[in-house]
Amino acid sequence: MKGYRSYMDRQKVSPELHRRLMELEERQSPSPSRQKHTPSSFRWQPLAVAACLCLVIGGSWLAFFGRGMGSGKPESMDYALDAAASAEAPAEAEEATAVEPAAAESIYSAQEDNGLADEAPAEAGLITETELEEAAQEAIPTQSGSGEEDLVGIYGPLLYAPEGYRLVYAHRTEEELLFRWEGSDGGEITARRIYSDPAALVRKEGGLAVYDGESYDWREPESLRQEGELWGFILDWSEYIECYTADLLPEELAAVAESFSSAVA
Amino acid sequence: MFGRKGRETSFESLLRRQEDRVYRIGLAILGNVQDAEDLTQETFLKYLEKRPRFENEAHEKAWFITVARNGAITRLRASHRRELPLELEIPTPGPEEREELEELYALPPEDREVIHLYYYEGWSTGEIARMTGSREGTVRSRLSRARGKLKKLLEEVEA
Repeated sequence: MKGYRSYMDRQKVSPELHRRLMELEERQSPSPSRQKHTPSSFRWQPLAVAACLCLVIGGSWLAFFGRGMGSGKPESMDYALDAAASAEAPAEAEEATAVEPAAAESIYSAQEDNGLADEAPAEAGLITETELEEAAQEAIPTQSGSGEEDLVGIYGPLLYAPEGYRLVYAHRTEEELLFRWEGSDGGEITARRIYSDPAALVRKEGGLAVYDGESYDWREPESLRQEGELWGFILDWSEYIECYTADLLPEELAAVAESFSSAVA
Repeated sequence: MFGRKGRETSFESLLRRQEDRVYRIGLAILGNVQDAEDLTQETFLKYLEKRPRFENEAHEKAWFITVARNGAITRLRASHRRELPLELEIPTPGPEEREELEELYALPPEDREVIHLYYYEGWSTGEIARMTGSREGTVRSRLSRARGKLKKLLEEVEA
């Protein structure tokens, strides 16, 4: 691997990228006026065709059902902490003699079949109309705020959104980030990201799911259930890394809730 | 507390410590300069959003590697969803590196990730397993599979 090492040693960020990275900090430092800014226009989203979920999970459903609940800390940080404790240790020159069967699927593959379609809808309590209404009390602005174009420029390329959708609004406060996408089909997606809360609350008027791409932000499911936040949630089947993303239609929410409740019961 | 006693407190200092590492992970997994640059920007944006407190430099390193690696997975997954596979486009290797790089980049991204973390970052299979949330056996399996494909190259190195 000598060639690979020498090649990688030469790969460095360009001065241009370094400059852009430096500018990130300036843009991320909210001015006093920005901190106090309150969006001038709010609109309550209709709930008739409310939310979809995009689950990013590590592992399989079965793997999840077989493990206990975590401590509530984002697990990837646990890994980072664990890794940090030993990151300086020299690499082990171990040979992989006991080879397990290779994973059937690429860890990077998007697997569309989540096995939920056959689940019977149920009033499982995790996602209910009441909770939906409560969640809708969170106001998300629908008008682009002045002076936020730089944030749109930063976040636009970084956040995943369905085809045909573009970010038109991004607003940052001390506690949260608010986003709004507009689609070529006339649809609208709004999202609220709370810094102290790894789950992104995402909703789209009339259709498909969206997920904010923060896949390292694992959320301990039980705490999410207790808080009744429901627009988007992220589960962690972290025993396995095989990941897939599931786009769920509104009518599938109840089935997810049922599975979820079974898992945390 | 790391970063609070005047040791390396500025964002620029942190950038200089971690930016190349993050970029290289992106290049290793994504195999594309533009995506590696985007990933680097995204990773530092996440840092600025969260401002995590690092206990020490090893913790800082692990955080950036973890976030960058997960960000790369997200990008690959999004490319799968859009049925637009990322194109391999890496900086030109030197003549003596070309064959090795070509074989390495013929491996799937998950194998390249393990190779990079193991051989370049110097992490053990156990450490990689903890960081990626995999079983150690799975990491070993991937490493073994990659080694098999790179056997010829490795034999040349060991000779």
